[in-house]
Amino acid sequence: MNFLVMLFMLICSAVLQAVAPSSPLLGEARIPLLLSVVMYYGLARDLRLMVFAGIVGGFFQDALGLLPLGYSSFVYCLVGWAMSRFKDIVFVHEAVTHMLFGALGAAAAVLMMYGLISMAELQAYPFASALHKALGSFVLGAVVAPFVFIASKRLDQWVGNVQEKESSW
Amino acid sequence: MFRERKLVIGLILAVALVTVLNLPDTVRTRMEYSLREGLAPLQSLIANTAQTVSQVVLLIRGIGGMASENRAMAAELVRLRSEVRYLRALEGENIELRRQLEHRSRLERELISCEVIARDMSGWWQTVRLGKGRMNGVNPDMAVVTPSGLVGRTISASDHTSDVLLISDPSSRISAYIQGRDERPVFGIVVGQGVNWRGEVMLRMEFINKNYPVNPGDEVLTSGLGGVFPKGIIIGYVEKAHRDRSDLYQYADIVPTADLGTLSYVFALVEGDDPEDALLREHRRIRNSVEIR
Repeated sequence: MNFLVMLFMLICSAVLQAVAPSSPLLGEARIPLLLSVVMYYGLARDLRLMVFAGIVGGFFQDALGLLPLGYSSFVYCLVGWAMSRFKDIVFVHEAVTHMLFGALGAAAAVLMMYGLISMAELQAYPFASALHKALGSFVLGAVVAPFVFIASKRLDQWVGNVQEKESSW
Repeated sequence: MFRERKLVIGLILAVALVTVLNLPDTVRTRMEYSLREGLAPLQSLIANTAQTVSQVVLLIRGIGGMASENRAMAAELVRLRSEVRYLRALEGENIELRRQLEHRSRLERELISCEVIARDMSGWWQTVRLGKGRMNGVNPDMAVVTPSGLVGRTISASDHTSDVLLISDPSSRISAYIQGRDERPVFGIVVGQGVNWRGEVMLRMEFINKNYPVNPGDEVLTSGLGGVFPKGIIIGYVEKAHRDRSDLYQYADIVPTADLGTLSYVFALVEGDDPEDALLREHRRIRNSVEIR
């Protein structure tokens, strides 16, 4: 059931992320829905599920875009792993923790992807634009991640994957 | 025991990740196309719903001004009808002159209307995905236009979807010419510059002859060289011309005529049976197959 819920969340996120518009004010950054799902598994569930979500989520992102297959999987797994390492840091308000993790994770993913794209010379992208995109992702991550976390958690509780008290946060 | 099991699972997943990163091209392409095909109906459904919602919102907002808009449209209709009559006469004259000169028309090209179902997922490229693919006659390397002007070219196609690289993408290069006040055209390359923070699409025409007088408002059209874009499709207008740093050429900022930010329907141009086009297509096919090998 864990994998079914994960797949459902990833497919919904992939479709919405592809259709949702982006804002030039935020550096044309895409809404980090897929990454938020991966971060949820990194923060609230075990590492095994996170890596699986990272690989599949990254595969969705790459297959539906122009990135070579595997780039996003690598970045997602790295961000998810970092989340799971620092998940014990909890602020007084749960929402603040979610916002901070979402923002930092999304911005870090953009910068890592920029590094990979530049190294592979896939796209001539100015660093200033990448920084602008990272800032945009920071904002979007802070806004979107808490909602994705809550939705994923509720769905997991609803189907019985996790108990009310089992949550890490 | 539990730790060992976790380690084994972790190792298996790590191997899976490395495998995904190093898949052979054929397997990778097949996987990508399968996923694209599988998710295309969902994307199309969401795009349609979003469009319906925005149309309903526009309708509700426009109810107040409908009467005046109706009057304006009726006047516009009368003007357009008279223009069509005039253009029909011109077209007849044009056909007759061409027939006398035995000149074949290059403008008779089939258009395939396509719905835009998604934009690039990653945000690193300026692309859109269309809801039509090889089964509908949309293949890679086809020009994509709107009634306002050039949009881009198709770069890949699965059975029911295709990806379009927009002219605003930094990797987009189009051979073009400026049709200025001087009758003599001047050639150059139109390069995408992305989108600025105000959401304006930025294009630049490079390698323009430095002695040619480029003026703001001059039309920029496709030259037909390169094989993908037919000659004479409007790209945009010159906004400002600058002298190149090397002082050998000049470059110009171009404002595109097509609104790339709000694309919902576009047209893919089917290549005609022009022998020159066919030759170039074959040349590209051979070159691509050599590059892949």
